[in-house]
Amino acid sequence: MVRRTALSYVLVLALLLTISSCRRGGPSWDTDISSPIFKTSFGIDNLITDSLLVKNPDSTLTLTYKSNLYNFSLDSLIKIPDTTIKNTYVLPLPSYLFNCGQAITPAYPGNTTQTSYPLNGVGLKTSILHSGMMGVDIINKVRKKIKIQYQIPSATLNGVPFNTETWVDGRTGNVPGHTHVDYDLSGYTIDMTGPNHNSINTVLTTINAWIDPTCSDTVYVTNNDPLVISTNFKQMVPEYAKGYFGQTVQNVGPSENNFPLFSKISSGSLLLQSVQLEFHVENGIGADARVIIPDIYSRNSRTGSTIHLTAPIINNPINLNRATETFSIPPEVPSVYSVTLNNTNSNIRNLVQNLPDKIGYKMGIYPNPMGNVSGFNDFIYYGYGIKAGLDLTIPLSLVANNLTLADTVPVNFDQSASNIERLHHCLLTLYASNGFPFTANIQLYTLDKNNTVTDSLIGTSNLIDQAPLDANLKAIDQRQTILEIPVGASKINDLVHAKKILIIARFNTGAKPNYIKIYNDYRIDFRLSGDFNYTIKLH
Amino acid sequence: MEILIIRSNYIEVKKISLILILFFSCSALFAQSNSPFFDLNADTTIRWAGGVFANYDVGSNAITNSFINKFYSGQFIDSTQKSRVRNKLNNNNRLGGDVNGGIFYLQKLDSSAHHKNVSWFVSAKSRQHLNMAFSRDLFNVAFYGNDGYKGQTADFSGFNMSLVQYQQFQAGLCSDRFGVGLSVYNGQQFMMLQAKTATMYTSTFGDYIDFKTSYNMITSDQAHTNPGAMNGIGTGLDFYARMPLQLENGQKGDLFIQLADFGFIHWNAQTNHYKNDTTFHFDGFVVKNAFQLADSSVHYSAKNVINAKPYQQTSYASYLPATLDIKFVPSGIKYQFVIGVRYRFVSDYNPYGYGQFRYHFGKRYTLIAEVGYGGYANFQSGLTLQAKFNNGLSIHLGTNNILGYLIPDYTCGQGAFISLSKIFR
Repeated sequence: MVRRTALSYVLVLALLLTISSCRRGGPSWDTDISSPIFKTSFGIDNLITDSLLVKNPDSTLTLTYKSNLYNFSLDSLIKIPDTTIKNTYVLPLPSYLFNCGQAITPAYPGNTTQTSYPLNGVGLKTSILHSGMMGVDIINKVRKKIKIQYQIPSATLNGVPFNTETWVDGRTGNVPGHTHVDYDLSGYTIDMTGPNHNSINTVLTTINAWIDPTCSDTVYVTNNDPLVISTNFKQMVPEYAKGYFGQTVQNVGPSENNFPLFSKISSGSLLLQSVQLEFHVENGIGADARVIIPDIYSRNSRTGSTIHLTAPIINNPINLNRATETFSIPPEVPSVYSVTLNNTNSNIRNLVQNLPDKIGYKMGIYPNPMGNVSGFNDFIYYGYGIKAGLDLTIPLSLVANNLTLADTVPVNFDQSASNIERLHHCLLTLYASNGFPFTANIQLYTLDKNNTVTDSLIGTSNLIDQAPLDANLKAIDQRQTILEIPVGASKINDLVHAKKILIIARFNTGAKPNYIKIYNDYRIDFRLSGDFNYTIKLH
Repeated sequence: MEILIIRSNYIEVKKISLILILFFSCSALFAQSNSPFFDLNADTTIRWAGGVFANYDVGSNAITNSFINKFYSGQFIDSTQKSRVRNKLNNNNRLGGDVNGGIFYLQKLDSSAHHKNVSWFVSAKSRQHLNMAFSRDLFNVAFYGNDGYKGQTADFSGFNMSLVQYQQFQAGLCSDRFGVGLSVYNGQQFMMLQAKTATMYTSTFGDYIDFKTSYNMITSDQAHTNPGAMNGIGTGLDFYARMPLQLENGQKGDLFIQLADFGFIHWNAQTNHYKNDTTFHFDGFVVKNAFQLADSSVHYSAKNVINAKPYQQTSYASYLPATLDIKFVPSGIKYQFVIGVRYRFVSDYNPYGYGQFRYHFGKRYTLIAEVGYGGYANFQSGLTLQAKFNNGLSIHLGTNNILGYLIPDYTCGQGAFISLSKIFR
């Protein structure tokens, strides 16, 4: 009886527990959700990269693009080679008894070394070092510690000549004493005119050595106990140099620079009403120079098309006056040569319409074409040199023929996200309000990790109408196009597994063959909304 | 500012999800509204008695039992089940329920103080009440989506939902005419959401959504929701009365009046209050440059929140859904026809009128069949079996809505109760 009663109580408690804890996770159900997804707006500034758009008074746009073609800098002109000076001091007698503190190196001028640098036709009088290191390596076979004094009388910092002292231990048994010390010469002014101030490229160094003045007794030194001091000048870069820079011709190229202005264009053609190129050369060297440009070309590596520039600057010498030294800040005023190329004096428009991704060039730079007319007063500052550049000006009046822009956008959908799996199908609706005077065919592709196209997201009806034009071929309003994009289960799967989305837009201007001007206020607005069949699951 | 808005709405979405779960996962109603103490005290041979009981009840005017069962058990709710609910929806709908369980003990005073018809009793119970009112549009948007509302405004105004979960410790006295019980409540969990106005407009092309709401939400400390968590304390009163009555037709009987759960709970200072008067416009994420998606150029475009008082913590007092039950039980040895009416305060419970046919199979067994209309579930039909055994064991087993189990696809209420008591004479 008691057991039956207890069993009944247990049953009631079990019912209680069952009522309160029988949930097994969240319920789920299908819904049809309509929701906006995103909106975006494109102006011409979103389509053109690395550029500067200039708004003209009539609100048309001009594209300006600046590109450096070549920089001829100080280290290209003056290259101070790494140099090692080895001084070996050997006793001229079989042996000699030295006292403590007695000098073992000869007196002036025997303790002074003149080093002349071969500078490939450049003769420097003065140089201020931007950077440079001096390493001193000393081997001592004398059986006493030696004090070394190292001087560069012609190198001064704030008017004080370079002067340093160091010690090297004496020989122990057959093991010579050895020491190595590095000194930073940055900022030193080097007088390179030698002891009589009538030389070039010359540096004086002085070395004095003494037996340790604090030693306890004398020492015999034989002619087999040399003191060897090696001095290594390395990584010497002038901040400023003065002298005669010679006439060594610098041949540059053929070389190519990247030209990213049209990097997103994958096909089609672009006709431009006009193009203007300002070619300029800036001489920041205090020496006359002549530049000869045999070739400038544009190359479209996608099509393989190369177009060479035909213009007065090709193969015609460009004489550059020397820069003017100001002795203040900035230290000089460069001289500038500039020439403008346009549709009438060159084929620059063809070069640009080639839609290049590379600009190639070849040039020769001839310093001092008239010799040492400055009397060793050529100068150059670090950071200055000869610079050649292109300033491209393109009024956006154009004809686009299937001009196709392509770009990829990395995506990373969380494939483990169950909410993606619960999306069964959807209908995306793209509302495009086009204010540009050209049609656009839009297509999106999913790419896998190998950049292989796995699917296209938009069907064949992907044409966005152009804006309506007035008699002047100016867009007067936006025109709306509605594109419906059914996305079934397979496309959702491709989208979820995609690593990138490839966006391709193909443009065609209206009213061909007329050139169409692009105005500052042209925009195309996109709004994407979707009707989703989705399983909601509560947790 | 945008981040704050996102965060704020994220919190709200989580809470709304929680509410939707609670919407269907918690159930109840008072299954057996009679106090067991009256019946036990009426037996003059009893010295003391004790027992356990449990019941649950859930009802709605529209949400079918199969829908509730699928929701509660975490299954997929198919379109047929949703459609059956949709066909029953009114503009304003209700759903409510209870889950109760506990133990009780009663002892006659005459065993110690020679008061023959007076007993004292104590009980300990675990209680849950859920009450909810919602619009047709809310159900449709929640379970069908907003696609069918393109170009229309879905109106969720008047939504309210409250859930209270607590433990009750009661002590009292009852005689053959009157009874009173005093209770102390331990508040475990409380949540209340009231949306005075709430509308959602989906544009004709689905390219923007406008949402407006003015709502007030209060939750007890969500960091402590486990059974026995002490987030509030309260007190309440149960009152019972039996009055002999003779009808004009000469029919004699008793009029029973019962008021239960007349009390409140004072929730502590960690109670969270949210109050927002919000307009929300969403027309898609703003992509500043589609060619540079990887450069964090996507921005949230929703706007804007006004009169927002997003969060504060302070104490709060909530009334319990007190129940008033009045019924006439005619005298009868073999059978009785009982009529009564029941109402629950502080809820969306409609007045519930009912009739019972009680048939006594000798002294041991009683079968009760009940039909009624009102409450949460409109029409209800119950069946109860009472059995008393010689060894003093007594069982009450039944349901307030037997059709809820027989034809769950078409009925909107269900509930069961059981009590097991032992009587010592």
